[in-house]
Amino acid sequence: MIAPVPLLEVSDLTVSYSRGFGRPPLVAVAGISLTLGHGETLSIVGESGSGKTTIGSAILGLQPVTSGQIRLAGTDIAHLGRGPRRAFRETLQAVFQDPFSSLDPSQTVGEAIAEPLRVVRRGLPPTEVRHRVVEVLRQVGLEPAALNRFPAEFSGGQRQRIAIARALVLKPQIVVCDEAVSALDVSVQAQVLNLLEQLQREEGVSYIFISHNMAAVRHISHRILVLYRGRVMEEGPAEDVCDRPAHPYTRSLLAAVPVPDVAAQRERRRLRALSLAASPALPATGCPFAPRCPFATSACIAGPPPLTDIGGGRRVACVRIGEIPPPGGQPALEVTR
Amino acid sequence: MLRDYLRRPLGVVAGAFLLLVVLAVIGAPLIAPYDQLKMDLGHALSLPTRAHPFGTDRLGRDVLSRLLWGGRVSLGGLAEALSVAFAIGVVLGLVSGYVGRLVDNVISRSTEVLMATPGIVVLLMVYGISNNNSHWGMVALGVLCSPSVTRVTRTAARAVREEVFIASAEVLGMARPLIILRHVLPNVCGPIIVNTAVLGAVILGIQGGLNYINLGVNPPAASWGGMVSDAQRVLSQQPWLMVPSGATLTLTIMALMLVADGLRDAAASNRSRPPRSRAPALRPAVDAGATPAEPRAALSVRGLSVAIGGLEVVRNVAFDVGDAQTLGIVGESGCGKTVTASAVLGQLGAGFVTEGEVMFGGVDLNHAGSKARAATRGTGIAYVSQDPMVALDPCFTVMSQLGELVGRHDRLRGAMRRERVLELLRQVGLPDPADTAARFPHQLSGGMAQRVSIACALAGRPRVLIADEPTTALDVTIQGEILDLLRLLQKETGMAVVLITHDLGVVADLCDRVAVMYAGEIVELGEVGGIFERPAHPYTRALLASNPIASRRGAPLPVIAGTVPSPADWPVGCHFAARCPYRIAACNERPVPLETMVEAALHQVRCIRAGDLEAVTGGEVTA
Repeated sequence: MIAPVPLLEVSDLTVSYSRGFGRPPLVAVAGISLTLGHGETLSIVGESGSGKTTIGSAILGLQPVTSGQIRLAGTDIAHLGRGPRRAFRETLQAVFQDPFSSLDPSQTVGEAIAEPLRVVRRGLPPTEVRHRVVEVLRQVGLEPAALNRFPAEFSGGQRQRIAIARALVLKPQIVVCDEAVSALDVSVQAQVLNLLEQLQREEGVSYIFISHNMAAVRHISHRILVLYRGRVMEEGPAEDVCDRPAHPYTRSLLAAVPVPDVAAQRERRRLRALSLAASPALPATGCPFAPRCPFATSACIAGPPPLTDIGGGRRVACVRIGEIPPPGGQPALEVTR
Repeated sequence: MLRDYLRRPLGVVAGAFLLLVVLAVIGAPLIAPYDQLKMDLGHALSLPTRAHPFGTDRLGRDVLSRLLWGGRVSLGGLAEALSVAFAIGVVLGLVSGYVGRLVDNVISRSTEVLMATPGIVVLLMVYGISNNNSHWGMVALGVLCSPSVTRVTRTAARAVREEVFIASAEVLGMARPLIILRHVLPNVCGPIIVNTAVLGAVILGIQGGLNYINLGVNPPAASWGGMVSDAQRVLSQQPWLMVPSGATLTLTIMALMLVADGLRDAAASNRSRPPRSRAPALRPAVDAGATPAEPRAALSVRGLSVAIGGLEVVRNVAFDVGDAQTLGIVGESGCGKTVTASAVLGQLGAGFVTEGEVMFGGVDLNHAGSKARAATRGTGIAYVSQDPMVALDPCFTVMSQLGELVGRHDRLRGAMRRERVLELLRQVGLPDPADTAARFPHQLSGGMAQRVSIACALAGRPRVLIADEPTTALDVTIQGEILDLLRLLQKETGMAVVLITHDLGVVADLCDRVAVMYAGEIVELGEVGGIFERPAHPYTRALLASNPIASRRGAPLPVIAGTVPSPADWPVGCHFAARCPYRIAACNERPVPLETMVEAALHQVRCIRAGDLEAVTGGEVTA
């Protein structure tokens, strides 16, 4: 499934925000590396402030990169200006979180979906534009009658479908989905997740799926990257990370997801209480998670732990990975019915 | 926006008047009865007559004709000044608001310099240099007025700049001028149009003043301001002469202001138009008062319906919460769960009509007076909201906010009050209460702020706590801590908790009983364990099944086809019927009552096929 030459390769990416005179810049992302293959879904998960959205913005060129490389099909696009970046707009598209602000309220749905074609493929005759727009609209499960209506007439789930249609109309190779299903209700979220998977099967598109929703991430991803305070804590195949988390942070993150099953949740509550330290124990000079980690020792504050390979395509940034006990009880995120 | 504007009678009259004035002035050469300069000294200073409908002036010139010709100077000048102000203001405002940073700084500072310039001095200079040329004067006035347009446009453009569709256009690599033209400009038109009308009125006023002192107009040519000046000279001989010119100027300025008001209101109503009912407001209540309120419950709600503008948004909700019990109200957005909570709290705004009983401590709060209601606030029923940052006042420290509540509920002062505040903060698990108490809300993390807002709710030692999505805005690890805290507090205080959420996992974590709401109705109510293991209503089943937590990669998630109907589209029969895979013809015939499934567990379900489905699927969770 994973091609030998990655489609996208991010190496040692650092992004920092200036906080004005006299204050050190805020490092949102510190030396992240990741790869994305053809037809693959890589999820970036983490809590607020983990830097997951910043990574997406940096890849899309919406956020200046402080240092590092973003290689798209062999070319480093990290430091390209607006002009040269245009060459990659057919490769890289995005779907954002808020379905209520992701579409221009003054454009009809047809105009919104056709705009990428009009901007990127200037010479395309109007009949072909229309043909492609109708085709992609059908693909996302909407009727051509929607073309002449305005976004305000659609529900959140339908707007997200329109936003996906707009992202896909150029047949991009990579779509960055930044919290694309987070604002949706559970039943609508399921519809959109299914749609994203179906489009991946049909078009072979790769996704960078940025989310804090572990349940959605587990369902849709091939691989998962767990982020905490701008650093990678753990990376690996989705099922391994979700069902056998190695890093203490991943464990606490998964244990905290409440499941709709009373008996299972009672057990998870116990794990949840054990997964986080009761009170901040250590300074965050080394491992950023050390203050909240129940396994933290003085070794954890010496310096940022290196991301080490533990086999099976998994990497973990924890100096105590060999010493801490395996997670007790049942697999970390599963409901059996 | 136009349709909304046309619903406002005052705006329509003002708009029609302006249109009439503009058309008349444009058509002056055709409709003016006399030449504006034709003197008739024999009929000087006459009152309105058949020959001179508005009378004549000092030199016997026809006032109507002079008004029409003078309007060309006045309105023409207005058009010139407005065009200049807009050409400068809109371009600078868009660039400044969209590009931001250095460009914004340069443009904003230059705009401020222009605003600080003494306008009248500049105008006098321009008239002086240009030999009293009206066009140059109006161009100068337009430049001087442009900062107000620049600022309005800049503010609107900055707001649009933050919208996600702009980021999406940037990802497309669209050129900046194209983004401004296609995406920013159409979305800032509203405020700009409103500003046009206001600025028009201001400019017309200033111009009238300039013409009054013969600036920008060369007598004997007429202008509205100049005619006021003429009339003033003969005020003692013929007061009437002041009326036509003065009224025209005043009415035109007023009409411009009224049009601006109308446009502003129309633009606002576009965004918040209340849904209009297409169905009769009151539908048969099938299970109102089916069982009387439970006297032993901490809170007992019966037949609660809420309507706004004749449109029912919550229908016939009934539930009980016992002391030390937690009831979850779960549902998707728009199902009416928050409105239900607000109705129980009596916190719905004007326009909402609430029916039914809200029994608390033997009193029906819905029908009791505002005094009985006020007596329960905080001490009887307390409330925790979704966003703690909004719930806390940013101007006061935690100590002062919590202290005020403690002072109100316990009548404590000084050191005693301080002690009680620290005790409350300790109770909600804050490790360093004294430190937290000294902080302002913005200095707290989300989890800490939610703990403080729970402490505020606990200050009055309530019997019932209503928590509306208390963990939705928080990170998942913090959510766990807050749920544990609520459980601990309930154990300590024995209060009843009503937890409103969209997350079935949160319900499983904290609740004893759960009410599942769909499109304004409770569709299933019972013990949490029973409902999650054997959901009886097809909606509950589908909701549980569509949660990705229960799925495997690769296999598509079970989904509920279609979308939740809006209140205006609720059917007479089962609200879920249109999306239900088990629907039969009878489902759509009449309202479905909430019926008891399992007597012992008080498991109720609103589905006529609940019994059959149990037999058909054996309680399997499939959708």
